[in-house]
Amino acid sequence: MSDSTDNGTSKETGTGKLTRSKRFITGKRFRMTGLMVAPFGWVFLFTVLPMVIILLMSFWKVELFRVVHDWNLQNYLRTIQTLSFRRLLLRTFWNALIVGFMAVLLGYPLAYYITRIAKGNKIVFFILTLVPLWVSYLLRVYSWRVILGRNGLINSFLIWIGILKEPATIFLFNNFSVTLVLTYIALPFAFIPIYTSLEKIPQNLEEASKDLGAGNAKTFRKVIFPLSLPGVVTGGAYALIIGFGDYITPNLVGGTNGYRLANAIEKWFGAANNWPFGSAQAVLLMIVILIILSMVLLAGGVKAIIEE
Amino acid sequence: MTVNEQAADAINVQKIAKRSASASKFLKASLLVFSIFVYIFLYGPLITMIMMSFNNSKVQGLPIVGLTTRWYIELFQDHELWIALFRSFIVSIGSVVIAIIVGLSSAFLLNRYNFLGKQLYKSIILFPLIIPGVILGIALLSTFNMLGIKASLITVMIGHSTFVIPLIVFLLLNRLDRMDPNMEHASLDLGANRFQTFRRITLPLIGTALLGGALLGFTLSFDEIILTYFLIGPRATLPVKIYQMIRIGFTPEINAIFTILLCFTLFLLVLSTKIILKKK
Repeated sequence: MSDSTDNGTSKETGTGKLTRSKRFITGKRFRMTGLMVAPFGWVFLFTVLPMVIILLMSFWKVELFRVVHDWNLQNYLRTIQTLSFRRLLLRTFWNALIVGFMAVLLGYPLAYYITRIAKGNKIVFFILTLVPLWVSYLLRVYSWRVILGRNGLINSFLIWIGILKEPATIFLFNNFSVTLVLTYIALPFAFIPIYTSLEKIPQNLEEASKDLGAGNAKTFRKVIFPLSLPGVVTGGAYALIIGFGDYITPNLVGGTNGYRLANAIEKWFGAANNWPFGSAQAVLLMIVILIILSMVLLAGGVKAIIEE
Repeated sequence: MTVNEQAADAINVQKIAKRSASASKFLKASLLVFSIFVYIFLYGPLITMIMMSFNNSKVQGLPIVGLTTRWYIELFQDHELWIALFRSFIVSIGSVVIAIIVGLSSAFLLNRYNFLGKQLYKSIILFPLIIPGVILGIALLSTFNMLGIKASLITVMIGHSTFVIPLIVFLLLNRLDRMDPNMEHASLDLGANRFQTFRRITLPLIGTALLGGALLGFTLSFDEIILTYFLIGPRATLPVKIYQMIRIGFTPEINAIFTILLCFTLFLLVLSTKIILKKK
């Protein structure tokens, strides 16, 4: 199988170079093993092992500030039975969903405009949309504090035009500001796959649909949107994961209302110092994310089959 | 069909065409307005920060009191920030070097050979890109803790490599899959050894993908905070330092740091785009 290209070469080179070809083939297995050492070792040590450890840790407990290998389900039971945790999970989940939805809602028309209407300057617009990704993440989160804060741009503006007398505190440090900023952070990530999927749709497919009598709306509904669905699903899922796992943004722009599951996990691994408990919550978060991802993949796949 | 009916049909067709043309014009215009709105949403915050970095006021807000460069001057005198910047450079360069070693061999392994569990390996190497940073962070922290490795710049480097590696692997794989294997075979047939072939033939062909990936990885690592926060020891990198500063309260210097970082990353962006586009 894998040696097919090499065999082809050795046949072509003829008898004169047989020894070299032979070495070429016998060396192959050796080279493969050599190439495997670094990547396999790395992936085992720093990807597989950490996940296994988190899973094991979630069944242990803390005694006198130390992790004890005492197998139990207490972390999970305590987590699931606590009302505040269930609320936290629900809020995290719901807001991540909003982030995913909003990012697609903003990203799709933009991607459509760039690929279908502003065709000539496509690459310029594409890069222009991605530039924020290259700007410091902390800056982008922090800048919203400057915009939404008590002395921020919006308050200053509203006072200046006379709508407000006193600066309002409703814009910042709540659930809304966290979701808004997470949408802002996730938007370029959602945009990329949508853009690529729209760009791949050939122009003549659209023309054919119009020639056959379908209007703009029908062409979009029946041809373009179904074909761009994989991009929408991937982009939305990516934004969703960002909305799920960020604890820095809630720390910077969210008050107690903006607190998310990732903040709880951070707390257990930091000041609260209960790693097994935090691990159990991380495992639960991981399970939710994997369920969503597989559901999203399944939905996308099934829909693609129906459309065909 | 009479002549009259034909004429009526033709007029109808024209009417429909006209209506759909004006509808598509309206659609185009509203899409344009919407896109402009999205760009304002994307760039508004960035422009705000640049504006504020020159504002001569301790209070963050409008109106702009006066222009000043004093935040930049104060920034340049902050010794600790310079050290943090230096550490960030070390971490980013280190993690990119690790990522190139592991990523290059991974990409060749996936492109040239078939082995048991190849698909599984491909998904596992991608894994750090799709799980939230907070989970990767605590998982690596627990691992280092169990292995008895103390948190330091090296643990941060390793952490960053876990997400730079998949980037480099997939950029390289994309390039390798399109490469003609006969080039290498020709070189070997003409008497060059494996090392010469790699250096003279393969490397120039994948060079831009490698460089683009390295630059992208560098920027991502330079900016990383979610994962870094768990793995950092007593020596703070620049994002960690800034995060600590922001959490305590507001100092106008922060705006100035951000404006300088903005210029630096935009420079890297232009550089890497040029490198990637040059190949095409």
